[in-house]
Amino acid sequence: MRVVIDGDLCQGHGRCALVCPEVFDLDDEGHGVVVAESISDEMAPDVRQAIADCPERAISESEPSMASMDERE
Amino acid sequence: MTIEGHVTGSGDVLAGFNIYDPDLPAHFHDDLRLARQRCPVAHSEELGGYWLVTAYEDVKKVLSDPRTFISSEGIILGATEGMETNSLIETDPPLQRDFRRLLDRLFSRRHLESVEPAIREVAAGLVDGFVPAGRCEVMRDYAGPLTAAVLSTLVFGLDWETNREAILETAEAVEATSQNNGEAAFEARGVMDALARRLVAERRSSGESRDDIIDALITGSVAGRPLTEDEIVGNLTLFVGAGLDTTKAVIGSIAVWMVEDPAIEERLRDPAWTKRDLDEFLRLASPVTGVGRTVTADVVVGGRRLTAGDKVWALCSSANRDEGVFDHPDEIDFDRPRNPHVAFGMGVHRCIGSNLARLQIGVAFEALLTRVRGIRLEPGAEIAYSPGVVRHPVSVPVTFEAR
Repeated sequence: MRVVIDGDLCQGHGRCALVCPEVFDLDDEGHGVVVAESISDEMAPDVRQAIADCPERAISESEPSMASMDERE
Repeated sequence: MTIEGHVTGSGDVLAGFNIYDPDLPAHFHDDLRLARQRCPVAHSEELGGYWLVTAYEDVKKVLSDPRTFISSEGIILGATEGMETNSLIETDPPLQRDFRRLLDRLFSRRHLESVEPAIREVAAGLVDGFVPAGRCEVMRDYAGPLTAAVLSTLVFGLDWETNREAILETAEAVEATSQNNGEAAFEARGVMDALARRLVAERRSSGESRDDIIDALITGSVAGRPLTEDEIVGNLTLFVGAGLDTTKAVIGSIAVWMVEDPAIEERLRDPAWTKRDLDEFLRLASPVTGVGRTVTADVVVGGRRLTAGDKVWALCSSANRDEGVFDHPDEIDFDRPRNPHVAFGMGVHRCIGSNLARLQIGVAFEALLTRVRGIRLEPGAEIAYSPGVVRHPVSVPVTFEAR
Protein backbone atom coordinates (compact mmCIF):
# COMPACT_ATOMS: atom_id res chain seq x y z
CA MET A 1 0.00 0.00 0.00
CA ARG A 2 1.24 3.50 -0.79
CA VAL A 3 -0.31 6.83 0.02
CA VAL A 4 0.17 10.33 -1.28
CA ILE A 5 -0.75 13.71 0.20
CA ASP A 6 -2.02 16.40 -2.15
CA GLY A 7 0.03 19.43 -1.12
CA ASP A 8 -2.55 21.85 -2.49
CA LEU A 9 -5.32 20.34 -0.40
CA CYS A 10 -3.32 19.80 2.82
CA GLN A 11 -3.96 22.61 5.28
CA GLY A 12 -1.90 21.30 8.17
CA HIS A 13 -4.60 19.91 10.46
CA GLY A 14 -2.02 17.32 11.49
CA ARG A 15 -4.58 14.54 12.03
CA CYS A 16 -2.61 12.03 9.96
CA ALA A 17 0.52 12.42 12.06
CA LEU A 18 -1.51 11.95 15.23
CA VAL A 19 -3.26 8.81 14.07
CA CYS A 20 -0.34 7.16 12.27
CA PRO A 21 3.02 8.73 13.11
CA GLU A 22 4.90 5.77 11.59
CA VAL A 23 3.66 6.80 8.16
CA PHE A 24 2.92 10.53 8.45
CA ASP A 25 4.97 13.38 9.80
CA LEU A 26 4.60 17.14 9.63
CA ASP A 27 7.09 19.54 8.08
CA ASP A 28 8.21 22.82 9.65
CA GLU A 29 5.09 24.56 8.41
CA GLY A 30 2.90 21.82 9.83
CA HIS A 31 1.96 20.26 6.52
CA GLY A 32 1.70 16.51 6.09
CA VAL A 33 4.57 14.42 4.72
CA VAL A 34 4.54 10.69 4.00
CA VAL A 35 7.61 9.19 5.65
CA ALA A 36 7.09 5.49 4.99
CA GLU A 37 8.09 4.13 1.60
CA SER A 38 5.57 1.38 1.67
CA ILE A 39 3.00 0.43 4.23
CA SER A 40 2.63 -2.97 5.80
CA ASP A 41 -0.76 -4.65 6.05
CA GLU A 42 -0.53 -4.20 9.83
CA MET A 43 -0.33 -0.44 9.43
CA ALA A 44 -3.07 -0.29 6.84
CA PRO A 45 -6.03 0.18 9.25
CA ASP A 46 -4.37 3.19 10.93
CA VAL A 47 -3.48 4.63 7.53
CA ARG A 48 -7.08 4.23 6.41
CA GLN A 49 -8.17 6.00 9.61
CA ALA A 50 -5.80 8.86 8.76
CA ILE A 51 -7.24 9.07 5.25
CA ALA A 52 -10.78 9.09 6.64
CA ASP A 53 -9.99 11.66 9.34
CA CYS A 54 -8.44 14.28 7.04
CA PRO A 55 -11.01 17.09 6.79
CA GLU A 56 -9.49 18.17 3.48
CA ARG A 57 -9.53 14.70 1.90
CA ALA A 58 -5.91 15.40 1.04
CA ILE A 59 -4.64 11.85 1.41
CA SER A 60 -5.26 9.10 -1.09
CA GLU A 61 -4.01 5.63 -1.82
CA SER A 62 -1.66 5.72 -4.79
CA GLU A 63 -1.23 2.00 -4.66
CA PRO A 64 -3.75 -0.25 -2.94
CA SER A 65 -2.57 -2.88 -0.46
CA MET A 66 -2.01 -6.45 -1.63
CA ALA A 67 -4.90 -7.55 0.59
CA SER A 68 -7.42 -5.25 -1.08
CA MET A 69 -6.18 -6.23 -4.53
CA ASP A 70 -6.95 -9.85 -3.73
CA GLU A 71 -10.48 -8.84 -2.75
CA ARG A 72 -11.02 -7.33 -6.16
CA GLU A 73 -10.13 -10.60 -7.84
CA MET B 1 -38.40 29.22 3.69
CA THR B 2 -39.33 29.31 7.34
CA ILE B 3 -39.56 26.38 9.68
CA GLU B 4 -42.70 26.45 11.77
CA GLY B 5 -42.71 24.78 15.12
CA HIS B 6 -39.89 24.22 17.47
CA VAL B 7 -38.84 21.43 19.75
CA THR B 8 -39.95 23.54 22.69
CA GLY B 9 -42.96 24.90 20.79
CA SER B 10 -42.09 28.50 20.07
CA GLY B 11 -42.19 28.70 16.24
CA ASP B 12 -40.06 30.11 13.39
CA VAL B 13 -36.78 28.75 14.59
CA LEU B 14 -34.45 29.35 11.74
CA ALA B 15 -35.72 32.70 10.50
CA GLY B 16 -34.95 34.02 13.95
CA PHE B 17 -31.66 32.17 14.49
CA ASN B 18 -29.25 34.53 16.21
CA ILE B 19 -26.00 33.25 17.66
CA TYR B 20 -26.00 35.97 20.34
CA ASP B 21 -29.48 35.15 21.62
CA PRO B 22 -29.16 34.38 25.35
CA ASP B 23 -31.98 31.83 25.06
CA LEU B 24 -30.34 29.94 22.20
CA PRO B 25 -27.84 27.76 24.10
CA ALA B 26 -30.50 25.60 25.69
CA HIS B 27 -31.77 24.43 22.30
CA PHE B 28 -28.75 25.16 20.12
CA HIS B 29 -28.10 21.64 18.86
CA ASP B 30 -31.80 20.85 18.57
CA ASP B 31 -32.22 23.85 16.26
CA LEU B 32 -29.27 22.81 14.16
CA ARG B 33 -30.56 19.25 13.85
CA LEU B 34 -33.88 20.67 12.69
CA ALA B 35 -32.06 22.77 10.13
CA ARG B 36 -30.03 19.83 8.81
CA GLN B 37 -33.15 17.71 8.51
CA ARG B 38 -35.57 20.25 7.05
CA CYS B 39 -33.69 23.23 5.63
CA PRO B 40 -29.94 22.78 5.51
CA VAL B 41 -29.40 26.17 3.89
CA ALA B 42 -31.87 28.39 5.72
CA HIS B 43 -32.29 32.12 5.75
CA SER B 44 -32.24 34.03 9.03
CA GLU B 45 -33.60 37.56 9.20
CA GLU B 46 -31.38 38.40 12.15
CA LEU B 47 -28.09 40.31 12.14
CA GLY B 48 -28.84 41.95 8.82
CA GLY B 49 -29.94 38.71 7.17
CA TYR B 50 -27.77 35.72 6.34
CA TRP B 51 -27.78 32.12 5.17
CA LEU B 52 -27.34 29.50 7.84
CA VAL B 53 -25.37 26.57 6.37
CA THR B 54 -25.56 23.51 8.57
CA ALA B 55 -24.77 20.34 6.58
CA TYR B 56 -21.21 19.02 6.47
CA GLU B 57 -20.83 18.94 2.70
CA ASP B 58 -22.30 22.42 2.32
CA VAL B 59 -20.04 23.86 5.05
CA LYS B 60 -17.16 22.16 3.26
CA LYS B 61 -18.20 23.72 -0.03
CA VAL B 62 -18.24 27.19 1.53
CA LEU B 63 -14.93 26.88 3.35
CA SER B 64 -13.13 25.24 0.41
CA ASP B 65 -13.84 28.12 -1.94
CA PRO B 66 -12.30 31.34 -0.64
CA ARG B 67 -12.92 33.07 -3.99
CA THR B 68 -16.70 32.69 -3.96
CA PHE B 69 -16.95 32.93 -0.18
CA ILE B 70 -14.59 35.66 0.94
CA SER B 71 -13.43 36.71 4.39
CA SER B 72 -12.28 40.26 3.68
CA GLU B 73 -15.79 41.69 4.12
CA GLY B 74 -15.93 40.33 7.66
CA ILE B 75 -16.26 36.92 9.28
CA ILE B 76 -18.32 37.84 12.32
CA LEU B 77 -22.00 38.34 11.66
CA GLY B 78 -23.55 41.49 13.00
CA ALA B 79 -20.15 42.91 13.89
CA THR B 80 -20.14 46.51 15.08
CA GLU B 81 -18.43 48.88 12.72
CA GLY B 82 -14.82 49.44 13.58
CA MET B 83 -14.42 45.82 14.63
CA GLU B 84 -12.49 44.83 11.49
CA THR B 85 -9.45 42.94 12.58
CA ASN B 86 -6.86 43.82 9.88
CA SER B 87 -5.67 40.28 10.41
CA LEU B 88 -5.18 37.19 8.34
CA ILE B 89 -8.58 35.83 9.35
CA GLU B 90 -10.24 38.60 7.37
CA THR B 91 -7.91 38.40 4.40
CA ASP B 92 -8.33 36.42 1.20
CA PRO B 93 -5.79 34.58 -0.89
CA PRO B 94 -3.30 35.38 -2.30
CA LEU B 95 -2.44 37.84 0.50
CA GLN B 96 -3.78 35.42 3.12
CA ARG B 97 -1.37 32.74 1.92
CA ASP B 98 1.55 35.13 2.46
CA PHE B 99 0.47 35.66 6.06
CA ARG B 100 0.27 31.90 6.61
CA ARG B 101 3.70 31.36 5.05
CA LEU B 102 5.04 33.94 7.47
CA LEU B 103 3.41 32.49 10.55
CA ASP B 104 2.64 28.77 10.15
CA ARG B 105 6.09 27.70 11.34
CA LEU B 106 5.67 29.56 14.62
CA PHE B 107 2.43 27.69 15.31
CA SER B 108 3.71 24.32 14.19
CA ARG B 109 3.90 21.37 16.52
CA ARG B 110 7.66 21.28 16.07
CA HIS B 111 8.18 24.91 17.07
CA LEU B 112 5.75 24.69 19.98
CA GLU B 113 7.81 21.91 21.56
CA SER B 114 10.01 24.72 22.84
CA VAL B 115 7.15 26.32 24.77
CA GLU B 116 5.75 23.12 26.25
CA PRO B 117 7.85 23.35 29.44
CA ALA B 118 6.57 26.86 30.12
CA ILE B 119 2.96 25.73 29.63
CA ARG B 120 3.54 22.85 32.06
CA GLU B 121 4.95 25.24 34.60
CA VAL B 122 1.95 27.56 34.45
CA ALA B 123 -0.48 24.65 34.62
CA ALA B 124 1.30 23.08 37.60
CA GLY B 125 1.34 26.44 39.39
CA LEU B 126 -2.38 26.91 38.88
CA VAL B 127 -3.17 23.38 40.04
CA ASP B 128 -0.98 23.88 43.13
CA GLY B 129 -3.13 26.90 43.88
CA PHE B 130 -6.44 25.05 44.10
CA VAL B 131 -5.62 21.47 45.11
CA PRO B 132 -5.58 22.25 48.85
CA ALA B 133 -9.16 23.57 48.68
CA GLY B 134 -10.43 20.29 47.25
CA ARG B 135 -12.50 22.26 44.73
CA CYS B 136 -12.21 24.73 41.90
CA GLU B 137 -14.22 26.33 39.12
CA VAL B 138 -12.50 24.97 36.03
CA MET B 139 -13.18 27.97 33.78
CA ARG B 140 -12.32 30.76 36.21
CA ASP B 141 -9.55 29.06 38.24
CA TYR B 142 -7.85 26.94 35.62
CA ALA B 143 -8.72 27.12 31.94
CA GLY B 144 -9.07 30.91 31.93
CA PRO B 145 -5.77 31.82 33.59
CA LEU B 146 -3.91 29.02 31.77
CA THR B 147 -4.91 30.13 28.30
CA ALA B 148 -4.45 33.80 29.18
CA ALA B 149 -0.93 33.09 30.47
CA VAL B 150 0.04 30.99 27.48
CA LEU B 151 -1.31 33.33 24.85
CA SER B 152 0.04 36.49 26.40
CA THR B 153 3.45 34.91 26.92
CA LEU B 154 3.66 33.38 23.47
CA VAL B 155 2.02 36.12 21.42
CA PHE B 156 2.64 39.30 23.38
CA GLY B 157 5.94 38.13 24.83
CA LEU B 158 4.76 39.22 28.27
CA ASP B 159 6.05 37.69 31.46
CA TRP B 160 3.16 35.92 33.18
CA GLU B 161 4.19 36.46 36.79
CA THR B 162 4.79 40.19 36.55
CA ASN B 163 1.76 40.91 34.35
CA ARG B 164 -0.79 38.54 35.82
CA GLU B 165 -3.49 41.08 36.73
CA ALA B 166 -3.34 42.95 33.45
CA ILE B 167 -3.42 39.72 31.47
CA LEU B 168 -6.42 38.35 33.34
CA GLU B 169 -8.28 41.65 32.90
CA THR B 170 -7.58 41.58 29.20
CA ALA B 171 -8.78 37.99 28.98
CA GLU B 172 -12.05 38.88 30.68
CA ALA B 173 -12.48 41.80 28.33
CA VAL B 174 -12.00 39.50 25.35
CA GLU B 175 -14.82 37.26 26.53
CA ALA B 176 -17.16 40.21 26.02
CA THR B 177 -16.34 40.37 22.33
CA SER B 178 -17.80 36.93 21.71
CA GLN B 179 -20.92 37.46 23.75
CA ASN B 180 -22.56 40.35 21.98
CA ASN B 181 -20.25 42.42 19.84
CA GLY B 182 -21.65 45.64 21.24
CA GLU B 183 -20.16 48.52 23.21
CA ALA B 184 -18.28 46.28 25.63
CA ALA B 185 -16.71 44.39 22.78
CA PHE B 186 -15.57 47.60 21.14
CA GLU B 187 -13.94 48.76 24.36
CA ALA B 188 -12.26 45.42 24.92
CA ARG B 189 -10.83 45.54 21.45
CA GLY B 190 -9.52 49.03 22.16
CA VAL B 191 -7.74 47.83 25.31
CA MET B 192 -6.04 44.95 23.52
CA ASP B 193 -5.17 47.13 20.59
CA ALA B 194 -3.45 49.69 22.79
CA LEU B 195 -1.52 46.97 24.59
CA ALA B 196 -0.37 45.40 21.34
CA ARG B 197 0.77 48.74 19.93
CA ARG B 198 2.77 49.45 23.06
CA LEU B 199 4.45 46.04 22.94
CA VAL B 200 5.35 46.42 19.28
CA ALA B 201 6.86 49.86 19.95
CA GLU B 202 8.81 48.45 22.89
CA ARG B 203 10.15 45.56 20.83
CA ARG B 204 11.21 47.91 18.04
CA SER B 205 13.04 50.28 20.33
CA SER B 206 14.67 47.46 22.29
CA GLY B 207 16.48 46.34 19.15
CA GLU B 208 15.97 42.86 20.51
CA SER B 209 15.44 40.00 18.12
CA ARG B 210 13.61 36.83 19.11
CA ASP B 211 12.23 33.95 17.05
CA ASP B 212 8.65 34.77 17.94
CA ILE B 213 5.40 36.08 16.54
CA ILE B 214 6.01 39.78 17.22
CA ASP B 215 9.36 39.56 15.44
CA ALA B 216 7.92 37.71 12.47
CA LEU B 217 5.23 40.36 12.07
CA ILE B 218 7.64 43.28 12.46
CA THR B 219 10.38 41.92 10.19
CA GLY B 220 8.36 39.87 7.72
CA SER B 221 6.74 40.80 4.45
CA VAL B 222 3.52 40.02 2.65
CA ALA B 223 2.82 40.83 -1.00
CA GLY B 224 6.45 41.94 -1.23
CA ARG B 225 6.13 44.69 1.38
CA PRO B 226 6.40 45.01 5.17
CA LEU B 227 3.22 44.60 7.19
CA THR B 228 1.39 47.80 8.05
CA GLU B 229 1.14 48.75 11.72
CA ASP B 230 -2.56 47.92 11.63
CA GLU B 231 -1.78 44.47 10.25
CA ILE B 232 0.87 43.81 12.90
CA VAL B 233 -1.39 44.90 15.72
CA GLY B 234 -4.45 43.28 14.16
CA ASN B 235 -2.79 39.89 13.94
CA LEU B 236 -1.41 40.08 17.48
CA THR B 237 -4.77 40.90 18.96
CA LEU B 238 -6.43 38.26 16.82
CA PHE B 239 -4.12 35.51 18.06
CA VAL B 240 -4.68 36.43 21.68
CA GLY B 241 -8.40 36.96 21.27
CA ALA B 242 -9.06 33.94 19.12
CA GLY B 243 -6.94 31.65 21.26
CA LEU B 244 -8.45 32.46 24.62
CA ASP B 245 -12.13 31.59 24.73
CA THR B 246 -11.80 28.77 22.27
CA THR B 247 -9.16 26.69 24.04
CA LYS B 248 -10.76 27.50 27.38
CA ALA B 249 -14.05 26.23 25.98
CA VAL B 250 -12.61 22.85 25.06
CA ILE B 251 -10.95 22.40 28.47
CA GLY B 252 -14.25 23.25 30.15
CA SER B 253 -16.28 20.99 27.88
CA ILE B 254 -13.99 18.03 28.46
CA ALA B 255 -14.21 18.68 32.20
CA VAL B 256 -18.00 18.52 31.90
CA TRP B 257 -17.85 15.14 30.15
CA MET B 258 -15.36 13.95 32.71
CA VAL B 259 -17.61 14.74 35.66
CA GLU B 260 -20.57 13.17 33.89
CA ASP B 261 -18.70 9.88 33.34
CA PRO B 262 -15.89 8.74 35.68
CA ALA B 263 -14.66 6.33 32.99
CA ILE B 264 -13.55 9.37 31.03
CA GLU B 265 -11.31 10.56 33.86
CA GLU B 266 -9.53 7.20 33.66
CA ARG B 267 -9.26 7.45 29.90
CA LEU B 268 -7.63 10.86 30.18
CA ARG B 269 -4.89 9.38 32.35
CA ASP B 270 -3.62 7.48 29.31
CA PRO B 271 -1.23 9.84 27.46
CA ALA B 272 -2.48 8.40 24.18
CA TRP B 273 -5.80 10.20 24.68
CA THR B 274 -4.60 13.25 22.82
CA LYS B 275 -4.07 11.20 19.66
CA ARG B 276 -7.66 10.04 19.17
CA ASP B 277 -10.05 10.88 22.03
CA LEU B 278 -9.28 14.58 21.89
CA ASP B 279 -10.61 14.80 18.35
CA GLU B 280 -13.91 13.25 19.42
CA PHE B 281 -14.15 15.85 22.20
CA LEU B 282 -13.30 18.57 19.67
CA ARG B 283 -15.99 17.35 17.32
CA LEU B 284 -18.65 17.55 19.98
CA ALA B 285 -17.46 20.67 21.77
CA SER B 286 -16.79 22.56 18.54
CA PRO B 287 -16.58 25.85 20.42
CA VAL B 288 -16.27 28.02 17.33
CA THR B 289 -19.86 27.60 16.35
CA GLY B 290 -19.27 28.91 12.87
CA VAL B 291 -17.60 31.47 10.67
CA GLY B 292 -18.99 34.11 8.37
CA ARG B 293 -18.36 34.68 4.70
CA THR B 294 -19.61 37.01 1.98
CA VAL B 295 -20.67 35.69 -1.41
CA THR B 296 -18.92 37.22 -4.42
CA ALA B 297 -20.74 35.48 -7.23
CA ASP B 298 -24.12 33.78 -7.49
CA VAL B 299 -23.75 30.20 -6.34
CA VAL B 300 -25.92 27.23 -5.43
CA VAL B 301 -25.36 25.67 -2.03
CA GLY B 302 -27.48 22.81 -0.80
CA GLY B 303 -30.02 23.50 -3.53
CA ARG B 304 -30.47 27.17 -2.56
CA ARG B 305 -29.37 29.99 -4.83
CA LEU B 306 -27.14 32.49 -3.05
CA THR B 307 -26.57 35.91 -4.59
CA ALA B 308 -23.42 38.01 -4.71
CA GLY B 309 -23.36 40.18 -1.60
CA ASP B 310 -25.20 37.66 0.59
CA LYS B 311 -23.80 36.84 4.02
CA VAL B 312 -23.27 33.22 4.98
CA TRP B 313 -22.69 31.63 8.39
CA ALA B 314 -20.97 28.27 7.98
CA LEU B 315 -21.89 26.34 11.10
CA CYS B 316 -18.90 24.09 11.79
CA SER B 317 -20.48 22.96 15.04
CA SER B 318 -23.44 21.68 13.04
CA ALA B 319 -21.30 20.05 10.35
CA ASN B 320 -19.65 18.14 13.17
CA ARG B 321 -22.98 16.50 14.05
CA ASP B 322 -24.13 15.77 10.51
CA GLU B 323 -25.80 12.36 10.61
CA GLY B 324 -24.62 11.72 7.07
CA VAL B 325 -21.00 11.79 8.18
CA PHE B 326 -21.11 10.77 11.84
CA ASP B 327 -23.22 7.89 13.11
CA HIS B 328 -25.07 8.71 16.37
CA PRO B 329 -23.54 12.17 16.13
CA ASP B 330 -24.63 13.50 19.52
CA GLU B 331 -22.91 10.67 21.40
CA ILE B 332 -19.30 10.37 22.45
CA ASP B 333 -17.72 7.52 20.49
CA PHE B 334 -13.96 7.26 20.63
CA ASP B 335 -13.88 4.48 18.06
CA ARG B 336 -15.50 6.18 15.11
CA PRO B 337 -14.31 4.78 11.81
CA ARG B 338 -14.06 8.32 10.53
CA ASN B 339 -13.86 11.67 12.29
CA PRO B 340 -13.04 14.39 9.77
CA HIS B 341 -14.38 17.06 12.11
CA VAL B 342 -14.12 20.73 11.29
CA ALA B 343 -13.82 22.09 14.82
CA PHE B 344 -10.69 23.91 13.65
CA GLY B 345 -12.43 24.91 10.44
CA MET B 346 -11.07 23.76 7.13
CA GLY B 347 -9.62 25.16 3.94
CA VAL B 348 -7.05 27.94 3.79
CA HIS B 349 -8.26 29.50 7.05
CA ARG B 350 -7.78 26.27 9.06
CA CYS B 351 -7.18 27.46 12.61
CA ILE B 352 -3.55 28.52 12.78
CA GLY B 353 -3.57 27.87 16.52
CA SER B 354 -4.81 24.28 16.38
CA ASN B 355 -1.51 22.77 17.52
CA LEU B 356 -1.23 25.29 20.35
CA ALA B 357 -4.77 24.49 21.42
CA ARG B 358 -4.06 20.76 21.42
CA LEU B 359 -0.88 21.27 23.39
CA GLN B 360 -2.58 23.38 26.07
CA ILE B 361 -5.49 20.98 26.40
CA GLY B 362 -3.19 17.96 26.77
CA VAL B 363 -1.00 19.69 29.34
CA ALA B 364 -4.02 21.02 31.23
CA PHE B 365 -5.45 17.58 31.89
CA GLU B 366 -2.11 15.93 32.51
CA ALA B 367 -1.21 18.54 35.13
CA LEU B 368 -4.64 18.27 36.74
CA LEU B 369 -4.89 14.48 36.83
CA THR B 370 -1.36 14.10 38.18
CA ARG B 371 -2.49 15.89 41.33
CA VAL B 372 -6.15 14.96 41.78
CA ARG B 373 -8.62 12.14 41.31
CA GLY B 374 -12.34 11.55 41.66
CA ILE B 375 -13.34 14.78 39.95
CA ARG B 376 -17.07 15.42 40.40
CA LEU B 377 -19.43 18.25 39.75
CA GLU B 378 -20.14 20.39 42.84
CA PRO B 379 -23.45 19.05 44.24
CA GLY B 380 -26.37 21.14 43.01
CA ALA B 381 -24.39 22.78 40.24
CA GLU B 382 -25.88 22.87 36.76
CA ILE B 383 -23.99 23.27 33.54
CA ALA B 384 -25.11 26.02 31.18
CA TYR B 385 -23.55 27.06 27.89
CA SER B 386 -22.80 30.57 26.70
CA PRO B 387 -24.45 32.29 23.78
CA GLY B 388 -22.17 33.91 21.24
CA VAL B 389 -19.84 32.84 18.52
CA VAL B 390 -17.73 30.80 20.94
CA ARG B 391 -19.84 28.28 22.81
CA HIS B 392 -18.46 27.24 26.20
CA PRO B 393 -19.71 26.01 29.55
CA VAL B 394 -20.23 29.12 31.64
CA SER B 395 -19.02 27.63 34.88
CA VAL B 396 -17.76 24.15 35.85
CA PRO B 397 -17.46 23.93 39.64
CA VAL B 398 -15.84 20.65 40.66
CA THR B 399 -14.62 18.82 43.74
CA PHE B 400 -11.81 16.26 43.87
CA GLU B 401 -9.42 14.41 46.14
CA ALA B 402 -5.71 15.09 46.20
CA ARG B 403 -3.64 12.12 45.03
